[in-house]
Amino acid sequence: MIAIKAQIKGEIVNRSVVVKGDDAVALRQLGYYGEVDDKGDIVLDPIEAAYLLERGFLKVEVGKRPLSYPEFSGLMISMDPKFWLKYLVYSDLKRRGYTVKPGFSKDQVEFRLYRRGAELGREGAKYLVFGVVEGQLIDLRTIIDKAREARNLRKELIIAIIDSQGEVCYYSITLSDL
Amino acid sequence: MEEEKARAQLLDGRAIVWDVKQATRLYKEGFYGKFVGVSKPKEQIPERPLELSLIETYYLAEKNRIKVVDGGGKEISLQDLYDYAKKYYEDFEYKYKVYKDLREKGYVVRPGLKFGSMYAVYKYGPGIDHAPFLIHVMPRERSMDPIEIIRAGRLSHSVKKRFIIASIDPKTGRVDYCVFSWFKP
Repeated sequence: MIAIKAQIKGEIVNRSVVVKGDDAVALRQLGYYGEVDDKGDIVLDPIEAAYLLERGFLKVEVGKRPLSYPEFSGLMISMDPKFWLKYLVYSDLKRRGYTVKPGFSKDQVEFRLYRRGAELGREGAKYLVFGVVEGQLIDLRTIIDKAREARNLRKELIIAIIDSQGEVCYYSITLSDL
Repeated sequence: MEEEKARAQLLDGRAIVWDVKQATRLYKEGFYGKFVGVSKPKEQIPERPLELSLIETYYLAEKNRIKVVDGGGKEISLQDLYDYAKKYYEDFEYKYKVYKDLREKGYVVRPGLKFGSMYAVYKYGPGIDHAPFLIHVMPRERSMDPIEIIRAGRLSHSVKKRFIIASIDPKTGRVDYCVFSWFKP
């Protein structure tokens, strides 16, 4: 792992980071990141790219100059106001050893979470993670609708509650008739 | 064998069953009410009057299992009782619907105030179940700060690491139960 640190190169294309050729092969070794496009390149979500950048696995260049993790994050925050909240939840789950994929809604803090050791392609995500923030009101209806959506996708809903300093705690939510 | 209907006297948002035999019978039937001056009955059921909550009073009256009278002993109609309850107790209608739904599903529903919830629900009964479910009742349109979830979760920590929010689907009138469980990734 150490040997490939910062060896993987990516470039910013349309608010994503694209990793090509051998770099894509090396990235695949690291885990399930991004989506493979029809050319065999890996298209990373900015959240994934920021995480890999922070961990020192990825190098993102603009012109010939590599972007630092704060520079890259700053750029992404300016394009997506939810970027940081998404990043908090994503990186918290990643650090705990999970495979995490972006959710279905881009304008919400939402992720698909796989069980530990899951083989992607063979199994779907076990959970749908939905982020909510301290200080921002949420309707019970929204939570119930999300729980229903998760159930229809045969997933369990996890609500990630982000506190005022970026700490995250989790509750699972299931609908029941009792 | 026809049993005599218990008589409950309505007073200030609750009702008292003074007859101790009727009191004992109601309690045994479904853990209704609380014996006056006894916080938790042991194996021996106390010979005491029974205090029914307003919600229990209305439920039992609706089921025709008690006769509700006023201070002067005059019978109070179901409609009058309902009007009174609506005035006396915040969101009575809504909370009653949830109470009834739970009772009809066979649960023992007790007040949850001391746990910080609306109801404490038992499958078999207090003292038999290990711990109750804590049920909060909330309208679907209610907005909340996520802190409320944590708060409710913390309250339920001492009893069980989960709690339930009950709300009524405004379209179908069905009660949905949202079960929250603490999740450690």
